[in-house]
Amino acid sequence: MSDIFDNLILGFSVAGTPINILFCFLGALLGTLIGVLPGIGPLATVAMLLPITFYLDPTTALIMLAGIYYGAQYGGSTTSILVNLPGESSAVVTCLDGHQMAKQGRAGAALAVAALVSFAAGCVATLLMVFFSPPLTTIAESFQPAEYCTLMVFGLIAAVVLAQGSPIKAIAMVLFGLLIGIAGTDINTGVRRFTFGMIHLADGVEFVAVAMGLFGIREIMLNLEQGSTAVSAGSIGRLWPTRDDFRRSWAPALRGTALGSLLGILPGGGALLSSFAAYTVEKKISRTPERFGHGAVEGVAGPEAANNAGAQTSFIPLLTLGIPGNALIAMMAGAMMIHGISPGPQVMTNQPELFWGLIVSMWLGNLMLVIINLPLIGIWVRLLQVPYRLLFPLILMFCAIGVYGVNNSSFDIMLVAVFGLVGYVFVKIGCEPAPLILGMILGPLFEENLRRTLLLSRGDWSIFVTRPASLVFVILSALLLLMIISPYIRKKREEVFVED
Amino acid sequence: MKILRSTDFLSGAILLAIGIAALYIGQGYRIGTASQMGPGYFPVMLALGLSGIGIILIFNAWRTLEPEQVAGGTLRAVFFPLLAVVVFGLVIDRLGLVISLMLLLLISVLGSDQTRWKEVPFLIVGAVAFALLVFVYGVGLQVKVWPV
Repeated sequence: MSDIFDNLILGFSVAGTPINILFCFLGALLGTLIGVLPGIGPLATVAMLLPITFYLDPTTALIMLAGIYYGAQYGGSTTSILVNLPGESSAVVTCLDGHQMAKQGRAGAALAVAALVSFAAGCVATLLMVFFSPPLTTIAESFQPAEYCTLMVFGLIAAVVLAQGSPIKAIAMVLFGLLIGIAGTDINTGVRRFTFGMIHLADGVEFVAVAMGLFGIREIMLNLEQGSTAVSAGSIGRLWPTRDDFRRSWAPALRGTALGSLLGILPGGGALLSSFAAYTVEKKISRTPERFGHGAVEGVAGPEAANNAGAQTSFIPLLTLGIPGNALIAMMAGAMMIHGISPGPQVMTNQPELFWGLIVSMWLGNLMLVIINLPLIGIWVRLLQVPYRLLFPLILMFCAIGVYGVNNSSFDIMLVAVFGLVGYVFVKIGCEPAPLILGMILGPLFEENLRRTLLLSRGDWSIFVTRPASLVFVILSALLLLMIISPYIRKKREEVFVED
Repeated sequence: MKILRSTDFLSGAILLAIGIAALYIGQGYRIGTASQMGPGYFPVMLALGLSGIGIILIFNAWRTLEPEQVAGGTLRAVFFPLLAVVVFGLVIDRLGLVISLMLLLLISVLGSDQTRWKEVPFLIVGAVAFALLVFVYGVGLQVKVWPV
């Protein structure tokens, strides 16, 4: 217990330095901004900012990047409620009832409920991280290469099952990502693989360039294709919720927090899945499900609590096991690697200040976000009026400068264009490329652990099922694969994602 | 031909092509044994997996009566953003940041059918000034600013 207290003090001393507070604020502010602006999401933003983090201390960099992720959850709900336009994919379900409340002149109440339950959920999620990270780290420290292999397989399969779209195509994206991840010089033998004889690829494919192309440029092309729609927000109304709103909100907020925290920890989980699941649950258990879709405050409180809790707890597998659970967390892993830190259980022992500083900064960031969002809501509403025709050239500019800044290499800029096109084509043929980035991060790690496992077992594959912990992951993976094949689950899964 | 324009057939064909290409490029890498993996072992596993999924998807498309069709694209929305990035990459080392950025912005606005040309000069001047302020003077990015 006193350990936890010491850890928290360490965390506050790191997160509380002026520079870290400043970047935590910047991250939260930027997160809100891109959450509000439709057409630019946290994936693209984090990809754009990865190069800038070179110039920062690793802790400061991660604090800012994390702020963007959970800040976007706050900002995304603002546009969902006011103009029925989800600024963020995880805020899609907030549109359903939040915008109905706005139409009834209760936009202020909906915004306040969203911000307050998000804050409450953020506090709970922070506490969960404080309590659960140390034991998980202890477990992870006992892992041998065999466990790491099967854990990664489990994580990747889970990411596929829980992702949107066709599971088999998602598996293909993971495999392609793994292949891209191992391109470059093989560390064991020195053989150059898949470099096409290009010296620029000898150190592997630049992660920042791939992420920017797949998420940044791809997003721009798809948005331009759709054309933009003019938005106008109505009046906000009274900002403080009624007593009835509070009475109706607290239970859904608690359930949403619990669900979001759980789904966030699972590989493949995160903000998006959490909000969808929370909405479905609230509607299922409500005694008056017919109110949903017509301005039920429960339909705002549940998902909003869930997406923020899920955004935060999805850092747990990265920081304790070293396995990123979704594409955005994979970018965090990329940011850590840029600074020479390999994510995993050793982070907590070797860099306690990074670990605890990041966790405490999340709580501080959530506090700032309530202030950024509620009193300043008018500013965000006005920002909504910035037309996309002015926005996308700026995004393109940031991508180009950013990626050039990584290695001063014009080759990397070409890579951005190549992967932008790849991302566009993949989306067109129904392959969502987010799992690719997960595979790319895990590629070298997976190959290395596979090699070591089979070296230790002298080529005997049964090692994966004779070690108990590894067997558990094998069984879990097999169950998940069965779920994909089972037609019943497949139908349910589609229902969750098309819920309206 | 409905099949040829279906998402399943196209994704299957592309994945199969990637798998076969990886096998072809990687044929020179020694495979080794499970206990002594060569550089080719893991890539071959991945390439076989990709090819297998590709074949399954093609088979799916052929089996389904009404396969999902690929939605049409807009050429200008794809072409100009890509061109802008490529041109930036080609000229940045020679012409420096300011001119490269102007080219990038100018080409990129061609990608949207909503562009208002009266705004473009202001956009370019504002954006380049902002970039100089943030990246060159703020972050201290080591980059050539002018052609000389």
